[in-house]
Amino acid sequence: MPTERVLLQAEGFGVDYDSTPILADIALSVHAGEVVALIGASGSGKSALLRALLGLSPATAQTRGLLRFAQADGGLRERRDITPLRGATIGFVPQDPQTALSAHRTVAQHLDEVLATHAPGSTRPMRAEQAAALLTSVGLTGELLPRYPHALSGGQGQRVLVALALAGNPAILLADEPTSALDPRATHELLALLQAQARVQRRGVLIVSHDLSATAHAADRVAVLAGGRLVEIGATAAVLSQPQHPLTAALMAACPPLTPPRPARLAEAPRPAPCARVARACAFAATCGRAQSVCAETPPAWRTIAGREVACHWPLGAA
Amino acid sequence: MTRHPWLRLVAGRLLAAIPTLWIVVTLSFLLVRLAPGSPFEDEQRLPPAVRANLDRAYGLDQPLPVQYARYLAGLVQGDLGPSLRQRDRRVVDLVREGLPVSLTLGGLALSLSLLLGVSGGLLCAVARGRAVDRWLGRAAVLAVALPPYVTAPLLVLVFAVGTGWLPVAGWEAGRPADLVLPVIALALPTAGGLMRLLRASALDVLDSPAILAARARGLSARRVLLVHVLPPALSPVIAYLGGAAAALLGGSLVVETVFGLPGMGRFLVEGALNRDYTLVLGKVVVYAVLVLLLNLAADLAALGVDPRLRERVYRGVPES
Amino acid sequence: MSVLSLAAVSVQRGSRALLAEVSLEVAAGETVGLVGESGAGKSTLVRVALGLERPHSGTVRWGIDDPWALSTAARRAARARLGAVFQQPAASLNPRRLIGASIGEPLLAHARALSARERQDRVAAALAQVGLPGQFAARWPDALSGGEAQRVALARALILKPALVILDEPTSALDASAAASVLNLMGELTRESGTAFVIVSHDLAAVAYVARRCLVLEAGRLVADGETDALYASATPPALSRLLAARTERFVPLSATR
Repeated sequence: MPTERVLLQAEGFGVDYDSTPILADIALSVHAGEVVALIGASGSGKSALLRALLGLSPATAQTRGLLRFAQADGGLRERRDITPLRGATIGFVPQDPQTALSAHRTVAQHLDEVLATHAPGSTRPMRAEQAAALLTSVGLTGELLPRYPHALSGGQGQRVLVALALAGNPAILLADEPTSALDPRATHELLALLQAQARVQRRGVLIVSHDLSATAHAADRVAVLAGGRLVEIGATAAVLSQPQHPLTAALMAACPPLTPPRPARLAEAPRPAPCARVARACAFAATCGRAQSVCAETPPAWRTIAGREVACHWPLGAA
Repeated sequence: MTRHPWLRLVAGRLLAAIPTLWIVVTLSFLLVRLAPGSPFEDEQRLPPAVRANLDRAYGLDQPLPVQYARYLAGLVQGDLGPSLRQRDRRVVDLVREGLPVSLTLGGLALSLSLLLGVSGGLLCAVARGRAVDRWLGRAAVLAVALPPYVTAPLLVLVFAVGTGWLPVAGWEAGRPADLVLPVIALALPTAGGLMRLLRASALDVLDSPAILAARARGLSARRVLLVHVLPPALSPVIAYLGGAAAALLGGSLVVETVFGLPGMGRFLVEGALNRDYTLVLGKVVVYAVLVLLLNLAADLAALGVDPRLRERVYRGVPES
Repeated sequence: MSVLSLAAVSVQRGSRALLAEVSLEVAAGETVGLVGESGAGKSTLVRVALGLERPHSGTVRWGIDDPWALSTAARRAARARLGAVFQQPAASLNPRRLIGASIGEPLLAHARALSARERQDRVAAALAQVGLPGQFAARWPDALSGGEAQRVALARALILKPALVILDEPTSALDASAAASVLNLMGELTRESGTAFVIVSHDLAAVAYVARRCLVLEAGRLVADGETDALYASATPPALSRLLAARTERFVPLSATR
């Protein structure tokens, strides 16, 4: 994978809302052809990261550090103004089609305006053809074109959202909880669709989710976000089979197993301190069962253990 | 019965309006007649013989149920009866003279308040919390709070008496300058109300995931605002407009009196003061018809911005 | 003695059968899972069981009473025997009412004889039962995390000491840790409260964690009713096997194939 082209790179990236840090020291890259799952509970800062990557942070937000995006010539360039990249370099797949589509516009109207935006010279018949092709590429048919959002099933709506994200042929797909409104079968199909966009179309796919079990398995790499910082990043197989950060382990132990034996109690993950307070300590210094005095005194440095990066003073593998 | 769902909807609503209209007419008839006094009573004392003659001429000597039946019979044929105080005039003729004035005035005021209210409300929503938003917000509150009987004389003082730019009052057919001040005075409260309503609904839409998603697709700010924010934000405005438009178009008592315009609004004053029963009833009938028609128009407009409602019409699901 | 029984219950919507001849019994104190794909009729079954929708044919019984044979007032009173918890915890709590008021609301409808003091005590007891401190009664819903809100919803469902509580996707809007806390609470309640529970979910593992018995619904029909682990192991009927096959654990990431 590291030999693949980097499409998106964050370095020392952080976001303050009203001068309060809510995201700090984010270092993350997405390569062509891979799916990365960014796992974070509510309040972890994942929404702030999503908005920052789209250049749609609220007006009171300030960002620090670097964001680099793929260039047409194959290089990476730092971008301050992300506006022209939206829909073109970075395609966004929102959470719930019932709220993310405009209820008074048909699927065809939604597709047409995005196509027109990203190919200004095109004619309406050209775009109609492209719209039908886009629906086909996400496993739908042109029958859905005249439909309004309320007449789409959950799975169809979510695929329409993917088609819209693909209309500008972006290098990167950024998906926000793309399966939370779906049943297991539609979830599985949608994740397969996103995976195919990475494998076949060589896009970079970043899936942001609160649910480790729902999305991580479809990803090549997993990054765990807590308290506004990343705590563990690595290949999915390594992270899920042998988590090193206590939080990752707790998140996995929180998911009940399908078959016996079952634990009498499921683990409930420790809560991180808010990002603003973690510049001088580990976010879990007060809540982690493994914490020692050093955890409250020094923020943990990144270290490499068993093929992944982990930010913890007492990683599980080293205990 | 037609097969087209739209026509069926309109026809159904018009049919349903008939009993409503009947109830309005009946109640108004009773109220007007139960009030003390008589059209021929106040000014000079009439000799009893003359009075009896007049009563007979206008049918007022008949029992109330008979008068009521005669009025309804006339109404069905589009006759609103004779004016009791303006000799030799039919109420229908008076309406024919007054209604165009009120409709012109009200139509212009409605357009102006829509223009100001919608553009101002959108601007406030986009500039939320900034100076423009605050100042426009204050102006809207002021426009709503100041009734036309305060704004109308103020406008006259400044723009007619003070600067002499516009006429103080009066109405000559084809002179647009006569309409400027009345239209503004009439439009301001509705414009202010619309602006506040649209600001609130546009803010709701702006904060919705649909708008984040539309912007994330790279659409221009203008397109997002006009195509994705405005139509859903108009939904509550349309519901409000049904009633507001009737009040504007039906003739404003205050504005027409202050500016001396010969519209429908003056009917009510003149009719009520003079116990001109048929004139007052005529005004009520016209106003009721306007309210029913404009609410139907508002419902049709609501269908225009909400495909879910449209689909229910097509499927023939009864409105909830 | 069963707290809920359905006998040959059918529900039609237009020409479509949402439920077809569904029969089932839930015994007192028992916990039952209900799984099925989207559109299988889970929500309709929940509405029928709660007496919110009248079946076109067949009988619903709460204990010995048929709610649709009762007068409207008696049916309303009988609803006190059932509690419900829905997917979106935040949406089911009125944002303008204190949590204590929301939890105590059913008491106002069904236990009018209670004094304000007694109501407060019942609210405090209900909060304790779901593992929340008594101070929560004086908080506003927007201050709750998703897991806490779902506990509050459970407290409200339990306050009338119902014979049966139906939970419709109680964990699917929650993150793993919050879901774990709700499932842990469910584990305690199923062992200790004496209340029967029906948990409806598309999360097969969550269902198996709390329910020994599981029902499978497919296209409006009850196609399986049995011991949860045995059903999962057999991977039949087809609806269940499709649900099992859709589990995301079956994805193979690129890193594992290289």
